[in-house]
Parts: sequence; C-alpha cells; structure tokens
Amino acid sequence: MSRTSTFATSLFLLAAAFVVAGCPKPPEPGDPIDGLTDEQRQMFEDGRPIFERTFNPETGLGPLFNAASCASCHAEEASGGAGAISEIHASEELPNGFCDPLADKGGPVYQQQVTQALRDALGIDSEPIPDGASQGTRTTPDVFGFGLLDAVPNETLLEMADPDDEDGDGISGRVGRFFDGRIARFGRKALIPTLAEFNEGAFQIEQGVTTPNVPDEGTVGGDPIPDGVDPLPEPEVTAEEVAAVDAFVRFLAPPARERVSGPAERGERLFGQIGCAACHVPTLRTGDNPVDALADKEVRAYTDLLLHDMGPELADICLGAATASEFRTEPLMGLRFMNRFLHDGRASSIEEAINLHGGEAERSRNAFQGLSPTDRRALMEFLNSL
Amino acid sequence: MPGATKPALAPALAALFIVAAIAGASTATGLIADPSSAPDHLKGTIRYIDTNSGGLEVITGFHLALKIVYVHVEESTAITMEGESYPFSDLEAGDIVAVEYHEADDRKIADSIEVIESMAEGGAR
Repeated sequence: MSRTSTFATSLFLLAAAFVVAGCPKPPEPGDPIDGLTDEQRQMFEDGRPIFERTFNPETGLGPLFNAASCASCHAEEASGGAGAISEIHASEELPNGFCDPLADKGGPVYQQQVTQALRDALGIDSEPIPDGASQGTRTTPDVFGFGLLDAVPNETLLEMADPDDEDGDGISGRVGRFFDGRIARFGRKALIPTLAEFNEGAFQIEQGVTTPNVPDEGTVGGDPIPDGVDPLPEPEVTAEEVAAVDAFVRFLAPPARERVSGPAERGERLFGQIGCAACHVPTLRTGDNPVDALADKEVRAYTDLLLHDMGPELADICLGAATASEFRTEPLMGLRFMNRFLHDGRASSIEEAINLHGGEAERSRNAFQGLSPTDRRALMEFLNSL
Repeated sequence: MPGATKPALAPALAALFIVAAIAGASTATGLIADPSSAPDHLKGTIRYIDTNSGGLEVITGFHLALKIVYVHVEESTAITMEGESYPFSDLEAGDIVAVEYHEADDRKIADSIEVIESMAEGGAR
C-alpha cells in the first residue's frame, strides 16, 4: 500500500470515528431521551424498577385491579411498550346529551380482577358493571414519547382544532377536556390533561395502589369497600415513588424511525396526499419546559391529540367531551412494534385498521382503498417504518 | 425580643429548604397538584340537579378516579356566568362550574357558583 493510500485510509477511518462518536445511537424502545442531566437520568433509572414492581395485597395491590404492575401491561419490546391486556370502560349518555361517567357506580373504569380478600367478602371476580351502561374495551397503548406529547403547548392543540370544520376539509377536530374544564390529551377519549395525572392516577385505577393524590380505594360498583379487605394504610406508594415513575415514563424516548427506502419515502408522500396527515399530523413541536431535553423539540408523533368522529362502526362509549364515536388521534410513534390496532384491538393489521376508519376519516380510507397495489405497498412500507 | 429570633431561624430555614426541595422535585418531573383538591373550592361538571332540596352533584376527581361531590345551594348562593347573574333553574347536567363553599353540619354549602361553560355551549360534551 502506498503512503498516499495509507494516509487516505487513516483519514477516512478518523472521519468515520468522528461521525460515529458524534451521532448518538438511535433510541430503542425503553431507552431514555437524549439530553437528560445526570440527575434526570438517575430519576429515570430509579423509576424503572417501580414501574416494573409487581404489587401484591400486602404491598398495596387491589382490592380491585386490572394488573399487578405497570410493566405487566406495558410490556412489549420493553417496559413502557404496548401490551395484550385489555380493560373495560363504561358510561351512560343522559337525555340532554351529557355523558355520565358513572362515578357513583364505580365508573368509568371497571376493574377486571379482585384480590382474594374481596372475592371472599363479596363473591365477585370483577367489578360489576351497571345494567344498561355502554361498554368499551381498551387495549394497552405504549407510552414511548409521552413526555414530548405532554410538552406540546395547549395553544398548539387549540390552533389545530376546527370543531365546526370552518375550513371545509371534512376534518373537524375538537380538544378533549377534563371535568374541571382543563384541556386534555391523554387517553383514547382525551380525558386526562397531563402526563403527571396520567401516570399517578394509573396506580390507583389499574393496580388499586393508592397515591398521595388518589388516597382512597374508591368503591366496588358504588358500594363501599368492605372492612378488612385492604388493611394497608393509604397512600400505598409515596410521592417520591410516584415522582420516580413519572420521570421514567416522561423520559422514555419515542423509538427512532427505521431508515426508509424509496418506496417508503413515496408512501410518506401518499400518507399526506390521501389526507391521513390531516389528523395524524406528522410533526408537533414542544414548548417551554423545565426539562431542557423536552423543551422546544420536534416530535414525529403523527397525531394532533384532538378528538375526531370515527364513524358508527367504531363507536362505543362517550367519555368527557368525547361522544361515543369520537376518539383522540392515536400517535403512530413505534407503530411497527404493535400487533393489535385501534382503541379496542379489533384490528390485527395496520391495513385492517385503516379499512375500519370511518367518519371524518372515511374519505382518506376510500382514497387508500383506491390506491394501486404498488402505492398501497409503499404506504404500508412507510407505516411499518414508524 | 431579638434573642428569640436566632434559635427560630434555623428550623425556619430548614423548613423553607424542605419546601423548596419538594417544589423543585415536583417541577423537575412536571408533577402538578390537582387544582380541584383545594378544601374550599372545587371545579367540576354538574351531573345532577336536585331541584327539591336545592343541591348539585358535581363530578370531580383525579385521572379516572372520579367522585361525586354534593353541594347545597342556598338562596344566598351567588350563581354567575361571565360576571352576570345566572338562574339556578338554568343549570343543567354537563355545565362546568367552579364552586366556592364552606362546610357546616357535615354539608358543603355553596357560597358562589361560577358557570365556566354551559352544556348548551358545549360544556362537558
């Protein structure tokens, strides 16, 4: 090898080393976002074992619950992923159109499991659902990138909303609201305003583990919890443990997109051309945030975090501001890791899910069905890269 | 009594430090206290109006851990919307309200009710 070629090879290797060192590894499911301080990274690491902790009745589980740990539902690919466990929500629409979440009858979440002590006391295997209530099945979503979604300003949602379809594009989009009127974005019906509430509330709702902000066990279908079935003093986890789990979820990175080829790039263009991107908005931007790693960041979320009418075929329950047929646009971050689709998991493929879109999405669905096989494959290749 | 100030200063500073540390930790993770949990104030959605006894069932809570709070309305209760007086008979299920109340005889008595958004204009729908 000549001295010139040796020198060129050395330069190439040096340059490659700089490139590798300068480019952080794309995040895998379960990885934290880039740019955390050492303290934030430590909180993320401290939160993971609590997220993965399996509770039992002696450590706070129940008496009603859907799962014994966060990670037993949010399990696929990594802690924080989607999961196979579903739960039941119920509500009832009153004659004036108001949606009653059945708070006085144990609603809107009806836990599917009970501790042995509650089973012995009441002879039930799950929380009873009131007769006549509308019911909906909810699958476990992944929570990757939720910290970034939480950091998108409310003003962004209000700017995208077009409740009366004033622009005439057939897509409306309404902001969800909690019962106190605050703008909300988490949950399939966009009922939970903040990620902090989403994370802390799930302890009690999903595991029956009380927290400082949810310090009581609730009821069994509206009736008091029988004496003696839950002897552990409330709250069953501390504010510090809640904060650690909040940090773990908040700092989970959205999985990096796969490198895309020509067809996938064409598929991405088609995604916009046939109107999917009107609701599955490709990019949102976070605002000011006390965590630098979450502030002023672009997030490839493919959602507008708004409620849209999805048609009568998908309708199940009303909840909060959402009617029975309205659902918040599902983020598509990490879509390639999913194997059940739509709010209740009725679709076993992305293509089946698209074909079940109705309401405001009907025009886009029809356009998808009208694509040539080649274009349809390109679109699927794009979606499978997310 | 100047001499009494110094011994009190250390615990006061320690308490201030603890409060600041807790507040800082909450900010770092974005944890926000539930604004509807204040003892004499609540925001929520009217679920039911008891016209016989003059009371409201208001849905409030945290996440999906919801609860119904019963608030008694008296003739002296000021009900307003956008600063204007609002008739009790116009309240309906789905109205989003902010209630100031006091407790007496184990009952929550509304001092004022502000209609933030009426069901007729969207409310909790």
